Amino acid sequence: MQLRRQLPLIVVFVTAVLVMLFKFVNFGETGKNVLSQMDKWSQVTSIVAFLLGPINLIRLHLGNVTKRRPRWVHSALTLVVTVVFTIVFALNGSNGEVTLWIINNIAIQISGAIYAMLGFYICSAAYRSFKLRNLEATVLLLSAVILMLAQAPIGEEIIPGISKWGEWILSVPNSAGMRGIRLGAAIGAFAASIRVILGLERSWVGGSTAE
Amino acid sequence: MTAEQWGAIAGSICIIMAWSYLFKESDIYYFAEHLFVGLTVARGLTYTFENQLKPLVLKDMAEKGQWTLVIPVVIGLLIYCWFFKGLRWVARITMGFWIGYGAGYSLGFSPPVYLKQVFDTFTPFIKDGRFNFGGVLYFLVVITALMYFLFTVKKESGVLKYGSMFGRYALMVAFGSAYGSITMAYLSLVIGKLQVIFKDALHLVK
Repeated sequence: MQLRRQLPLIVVFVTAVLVMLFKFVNFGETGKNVLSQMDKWSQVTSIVAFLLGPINLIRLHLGNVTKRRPRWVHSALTLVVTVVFTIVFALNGSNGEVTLWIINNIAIQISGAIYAMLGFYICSAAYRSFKLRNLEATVLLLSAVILMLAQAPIGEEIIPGISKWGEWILSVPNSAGMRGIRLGAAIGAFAASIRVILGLERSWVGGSTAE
Repeated sequence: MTAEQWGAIAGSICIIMAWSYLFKESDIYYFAEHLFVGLTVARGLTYTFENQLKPLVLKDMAEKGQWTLVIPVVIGLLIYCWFFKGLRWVARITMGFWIGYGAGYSLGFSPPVYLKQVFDTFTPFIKDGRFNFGGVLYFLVVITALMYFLFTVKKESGVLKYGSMFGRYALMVAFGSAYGSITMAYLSLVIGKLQVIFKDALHLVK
């Protein structure tokens, strides 16, 4: 039982220390080769695990169909489409003419349309969230309106020179704010990495997290 | 009709099916959604097999004789133990490898990227004989944004209090402009989809 918890933690420690060792200590060509080999190993493990998602999806939808859960017909459709088109794409090649026609004209159009729907919802969300409730909301609203007008052709007609304001907002406050967030996130990621390597963070192995 | 024209018609039907959700949740929308999921999984499977598994693993082992790749293959295969209740812990070995590699990589390779950003933040106050307003503001926004995200210290008075307050307003400007840009991107996506329907399929727009 103890080994089941300890072994993954040991694997984490050894792998992380090896990567850092070959990065920080100069082993010459050997070190470079080991690092590139480890990079390939990481890729290979991910590639080999490529069936994980499809198996999960099939298990979920198969369960929906066999137990006649609500909207099981749609689950059946997913299963049929997955199986049939896997065969079609395998026979035609993943970059074959038929495959690309189906992907470009059906899958990409549906995904694009669903993604574009957010454009409709974002407008109603803006109306609700951008009310002039306090100073912060006003600043947010002004910044967004300037940016939208700056990027639309009509903006320059209404307020001449607004595109330059938009450029300035993007290159100074926006870029600086995002950099602050990124640096904060990076510090958090470093701290999290150290905790994981030292085995202090072990919720992923089913254990409690140590203080 | 050419394959391209048939494609435009099929694409238009798919867009309308997906957008039917704006009117009401319906079977037409769910049909489009599940069709998309099935197609994406099918494409992902064949693409990964043909373009990654075959050239990177199978060919390298069989043709180049890189039999050491058996080790990562075995490590990768262990993840499938997740589907067997008694063997779930074995799948965590693969996860351990990924997490360890990710953590080691993050600690070993990310600092140069982020340190460059830190150095670039410190710009001279005077540039070409003039006060560098943009550079100073940039520096202040980065520092105060970081102050705002400091949650482990009390910010009741002094520099931290006013610094984090300034940081909050600066972040509001940043989020507002990000929101504005995203909204415009979504609108251009909507226009793109309308073009597929009215220009490519119906030829109503030139």
